[in-house]
Amino acid sequence: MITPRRAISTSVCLVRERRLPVAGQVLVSLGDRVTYQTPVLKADMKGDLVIIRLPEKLGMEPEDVTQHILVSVGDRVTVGQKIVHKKSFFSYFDIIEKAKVSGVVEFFTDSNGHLGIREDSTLLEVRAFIPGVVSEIIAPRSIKIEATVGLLQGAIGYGGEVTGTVCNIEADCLDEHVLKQLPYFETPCIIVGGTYFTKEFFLGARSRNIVGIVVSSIKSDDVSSILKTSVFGTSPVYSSDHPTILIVEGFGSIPLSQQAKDFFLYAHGKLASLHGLTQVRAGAIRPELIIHEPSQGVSSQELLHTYPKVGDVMRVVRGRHFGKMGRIVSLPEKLFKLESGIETHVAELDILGEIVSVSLANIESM
Amino acid sequence: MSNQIQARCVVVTDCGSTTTKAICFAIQSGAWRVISRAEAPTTVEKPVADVTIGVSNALRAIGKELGIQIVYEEHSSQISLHLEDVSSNDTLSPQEYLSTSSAGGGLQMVVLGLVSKITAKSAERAALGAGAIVQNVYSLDSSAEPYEAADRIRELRPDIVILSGGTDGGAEKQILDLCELLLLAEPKSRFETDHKVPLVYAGNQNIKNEVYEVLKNVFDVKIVDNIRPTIEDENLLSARSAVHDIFLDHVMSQAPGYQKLQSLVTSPIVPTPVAVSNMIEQAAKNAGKTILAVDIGGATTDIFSIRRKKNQAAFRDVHRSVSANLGMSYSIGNVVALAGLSKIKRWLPFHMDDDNLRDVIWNKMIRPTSLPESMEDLLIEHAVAREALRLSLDHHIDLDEADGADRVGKDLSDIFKTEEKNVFSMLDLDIVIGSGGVLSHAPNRANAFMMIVDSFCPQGVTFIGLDSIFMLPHLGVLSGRNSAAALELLYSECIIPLGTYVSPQGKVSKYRKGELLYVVYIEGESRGIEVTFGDLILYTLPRKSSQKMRIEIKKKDLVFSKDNSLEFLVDGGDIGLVLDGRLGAFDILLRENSISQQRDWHGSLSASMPSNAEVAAL
Repeated sequence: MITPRRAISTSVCLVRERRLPVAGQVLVSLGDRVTYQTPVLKADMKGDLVIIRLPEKLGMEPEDVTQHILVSVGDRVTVGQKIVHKKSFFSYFDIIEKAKVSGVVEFFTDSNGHLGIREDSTLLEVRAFIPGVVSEIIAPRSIKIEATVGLLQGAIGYGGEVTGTVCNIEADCLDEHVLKQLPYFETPCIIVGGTYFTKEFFLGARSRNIVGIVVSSIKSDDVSSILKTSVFGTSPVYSSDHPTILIVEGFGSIPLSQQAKDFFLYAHGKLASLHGLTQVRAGAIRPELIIHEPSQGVSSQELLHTYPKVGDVMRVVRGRHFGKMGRIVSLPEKLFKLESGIETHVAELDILGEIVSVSLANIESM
Repeated sequence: MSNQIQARCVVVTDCGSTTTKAICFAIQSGAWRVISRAEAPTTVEKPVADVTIGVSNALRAIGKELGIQIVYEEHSSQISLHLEDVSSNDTLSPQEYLSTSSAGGGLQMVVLGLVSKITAKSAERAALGAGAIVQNVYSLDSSAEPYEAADRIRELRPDIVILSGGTDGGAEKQILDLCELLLLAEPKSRFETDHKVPLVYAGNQNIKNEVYEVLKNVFDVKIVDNIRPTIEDENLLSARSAVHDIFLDHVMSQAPGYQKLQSLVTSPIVPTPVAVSNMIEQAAKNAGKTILAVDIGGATTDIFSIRRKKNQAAFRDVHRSVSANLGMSYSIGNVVALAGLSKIKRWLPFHMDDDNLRDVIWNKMIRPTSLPESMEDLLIEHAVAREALRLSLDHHIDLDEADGADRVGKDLSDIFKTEEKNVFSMLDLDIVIGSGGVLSHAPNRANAFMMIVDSFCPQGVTFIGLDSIFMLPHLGVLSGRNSAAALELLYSECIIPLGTYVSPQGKVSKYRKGELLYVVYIEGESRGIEVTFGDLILYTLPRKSSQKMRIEIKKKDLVFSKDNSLEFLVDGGDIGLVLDGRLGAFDILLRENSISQQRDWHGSLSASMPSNAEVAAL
């Protein structure tokens, strides 16, 4: 039976795709080494064309507009700039029209007095996000980067991509007391550690330049009351002003596993990239904390599922041992009856010296 | 049927969104039997992203049990499945391999309209009415920049897009702007198969040809009636039906590896709801009974009903509905969102605070294949299942009545046809069959019985059956190749008779708890059984036994059958004869002290629940 895998590894080789929302330009070449800040893709989004029907708006005849217009095709205009000015004798009855948008005059039609301003284009730029080597180019929209990094995948996340220095806090709960003891971080910081965080910590995080928070669990009620969003991690209502959140285990109050604690000790002080993108189905996208500097030693290939075998360390993801780690001591052939009455294949796990039977459906490999 | 086969051993898989179920059927001692079954997680998601891996795992488990070798080979150009007999016992050598699929799972949609509160809202209603989860609504008055909206649409990978906007003869350019946005987004199908994403256009009909031409290279475009033909009128039926049909025919069964699976089977893959529908139709016609059947899965809940034409003995066509946003794993969060936590909590025979309850349910959503370890966890899933089933039945009835309205039409002669409309009534149903993991795998069948009757509230005298090992899809596809074998297996192996359920139709608001409603006299018993408002009473009546029963009504508005008869021959089952005095009035009966009430009802049917000591320790 295949067991899902959520990585916690201090050195893993992975490949991640970087993508533009629209077709654009690839800024790197195959084999290029990139830092997390390197722009790798860009696109110019043409601005909207704003048409101003000047005669109708100003109560003038088209030929009158033509006489008093102050801009020509190709001129650059900015918000508030006069584009029409018809002077009166004492200035009391001047007719003035100012630009409501910035851009370039694209057309002016003498016959009807209509003026078209093309708004400024928007430059979209995608950065590498992780340090590595460009391994594939899929022009004109995306590239792939291969990197050897430290990786922790969570169960659910909220928020977009951020980069910062990891700060490991050894506290059970990230609350206002913890927040008060934290300095203002000169460079963006990702706080890791703890079972959960409080509303006060979450709301005060930005004041300390905290751009990301990684904890073990979150109460389902806090998703709406604190994060002001829904359970679905890709909800569009999550504010970009808030720190990005990565929940390692799930909903409730679940202590951090020893593996996660060890990972945070390794990650402390290192630069990391964090994203909260989560998709339970179709691609099973998990939020990730990616440490730019891997640990010394041999790095493994990223595996997203395994066949469990005796000796493997597994994480329990449901039931009374939820969140605990255990080593498989046996994989019985016979079905085992759970307390719920369901008969299922189990793994016998050694959890801190206690041998417990856990359904194969309720464990994840590391 | 011309394509009927005479194989003596057949392997069938049903690829659900969460689990792939394989069953081997064979003739033994002259009769068709289930000789082996196995399950494996469905493997349609990354990184595996190939439905045939899950199939192979399930088949390998069957092969191991039977002592036969089921070889799954993938060569560079061809995949073949060899069903090799290594036991020298030719009755066990599968000669056919068939499959159904609903691996595509729940329906997720993106909705676009011109104005958020008008056309976009109508389109959203059509999508929800078709049983979809609406991932995102975009309109021209949205705050998002077009490139942000395009990126979002692409990221969401919707199964179907619905585009609306403009009254007939109204806005045109703005709709073409939305088309441009969709072309920018160029969304790929959820499982990154080669299929174009289906798009239903339900906007201004004056530019339907232009919309088709603009979008046809990127989307599989289907044009339907305008959802807002005038600013005052809303017409959801056409769009809703189109979404429902596209999902059923094209999205639900499709998944990564579908083409590979197609090359393995000896007969075309059948969408799971179509297979179940076929079997239900055969069963109804064979038994001469009306049936309502449900298949509750991880992502979707499908309901099938076959009823008689009004005042006729002839059957109507099977009516089927797929609620693609109601299920027990991927869609479990949506069940909570739609039903509300309090509706779920009322079914629990123990206390649990809202936060913990929500935590358990949401953890199931992010780990959809996990199993309930404790009794409390199991009963939480059963509670959610009741609400998923209840909402699915509402959806089924809604679609049935909408179909009726659709057929009625608009001209004068059609107005008279509304008199013929066959309003859905639970009194019409002779049999209710439950199927799907949470029902079929309930460790105690009394719990499955309670889930069915609590959610569907059958009325009159109804026989309740349970699909023993979740086999209806398999039999449905088998029936296309050997209908006699499928029917034989349906009765001998598939349907577990749970018993007969008696519950009258009545005006619940009139009664007080404990008030006598009716008395049941069973032939051979000296005393009648009194049923009061709020009672749930079990009379032991084992499988393969029948009894004559007479009902004496104590409240004159109670109805037990359409023809007002009060004498019945009732069949027994694993639960027995259940007399219900609750009349589906759960809002009233569970208003106070719901835990104690639930413990009484669970106790009445010997359904599983935590003991008092366990509850005290919680």
